[in-house]
Amino acid sequence: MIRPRPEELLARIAAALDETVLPNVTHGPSRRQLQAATSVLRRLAHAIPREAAVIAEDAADLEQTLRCVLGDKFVAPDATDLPARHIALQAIAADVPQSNTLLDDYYARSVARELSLNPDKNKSDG
Amino acid sequence: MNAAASLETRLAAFIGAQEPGAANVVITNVTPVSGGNARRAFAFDAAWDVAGKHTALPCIMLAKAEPGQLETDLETEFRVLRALQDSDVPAPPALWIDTTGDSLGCPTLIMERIAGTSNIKALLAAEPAAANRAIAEDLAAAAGKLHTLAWRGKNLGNLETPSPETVAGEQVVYWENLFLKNRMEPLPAMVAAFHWLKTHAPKAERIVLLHGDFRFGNFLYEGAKITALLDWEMAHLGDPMEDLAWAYRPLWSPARHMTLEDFAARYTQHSGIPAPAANLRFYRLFSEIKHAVISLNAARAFADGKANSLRMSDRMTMLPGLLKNFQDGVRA
Repeated sequence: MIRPRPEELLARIAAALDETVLPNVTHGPSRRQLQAATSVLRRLAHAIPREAAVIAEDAADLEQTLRCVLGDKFVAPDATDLPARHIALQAIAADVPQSNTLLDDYYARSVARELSLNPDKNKSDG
Repeated sequence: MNAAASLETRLAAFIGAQEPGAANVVITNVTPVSGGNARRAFAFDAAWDVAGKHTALPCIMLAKAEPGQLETDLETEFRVLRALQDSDVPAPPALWIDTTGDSLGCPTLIMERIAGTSNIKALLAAEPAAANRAIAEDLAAAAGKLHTLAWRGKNLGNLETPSPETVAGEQVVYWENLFLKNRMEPLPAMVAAFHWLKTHAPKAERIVLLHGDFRFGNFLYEGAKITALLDWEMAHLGDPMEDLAWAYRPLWSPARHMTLEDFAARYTQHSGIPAPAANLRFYRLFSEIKHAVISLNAARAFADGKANSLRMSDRMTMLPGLLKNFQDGVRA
């Protein structure tokens, strides 16, 4: 893939906006919009290169957990595309009768994975 | 005519129509201010004469310009503020409401402007510790005043009256329905959290009028005194512990100045209302999930093109932290 990669580009766009545009937008809703935009760009720059691996790991973990929880009743989703398969597995989990220790343990691991994509959110409200 | 001049004209006509016999209505100093939750807010000064008597009032108007994190009823907020008007609860007097937006362009609530500042960063800072603790103490007293308000018989708009036995479960279902309506994926961890909340819902000691967004950052203060609680759009009737628990959400908690236990003790001292530990724990966990739903709603409104605030655009990234707080709390 030709560089700069998306995450590199997003990070540089955020930096350029901070350096060249933000100083000229001194107050009010426009400044807040700009600050929010650069914050989102930085988050995406961190998350994009990690997201595929996190989804793959989470989908495998969830599928394994559901196989343990449901046993013979588990029907694997048809979807082979990883994000679609992940969503389909989540839908199965959401329909499982709740208060299941194995699923609760999975949810804790899944939340930890999500947090790794958003370290700033973890710091601000942990 | 520029936008400010146009707003002055419309406000003058609107207030003239609202105040019987008002003449010479003059609007000055229209200034945009921060309004929160996708509301456009303006400060302005209004003056008018009625039968030779001159009245001048500093005002704040809150206009619902676009969908926010929550769809709330401006009329009920107005009624709640009116119900508080003759009480000792620090709240801005509600003056007028344009429910339909026919007069002012969009649904608008106008309140008297109260003196004071709102600076959450300063309040959460380590110093001045004594002054910030004093504010936390006054917040506990304000909760006591609000929760001892004799609300029965007052016009509270569309607020429903729950029973102590069912109120917690009803709140969980209310927020669960919002979650189911606005989620963009199954989110089974949230589904499991709602299940836990429904199976652990406690009975309330009593039903009181709640602020609903009771916390540092949502009030004005001068010195160590809270002059007005703001942002009443989530006001409802419920378990008093819900407001106390919400005030101690990690994002805005005053815990570094005053522990929740001290806050609750001071609250009980002021109000005579006990603060059962089990109810407080439940509502602390509930608060994490309530905040998660608010965050999801915000992100959904932006994704659907109903709101344009970029601060709402990735609010769903709050979710993992909020779920972790919930999961840690359940296991504690």
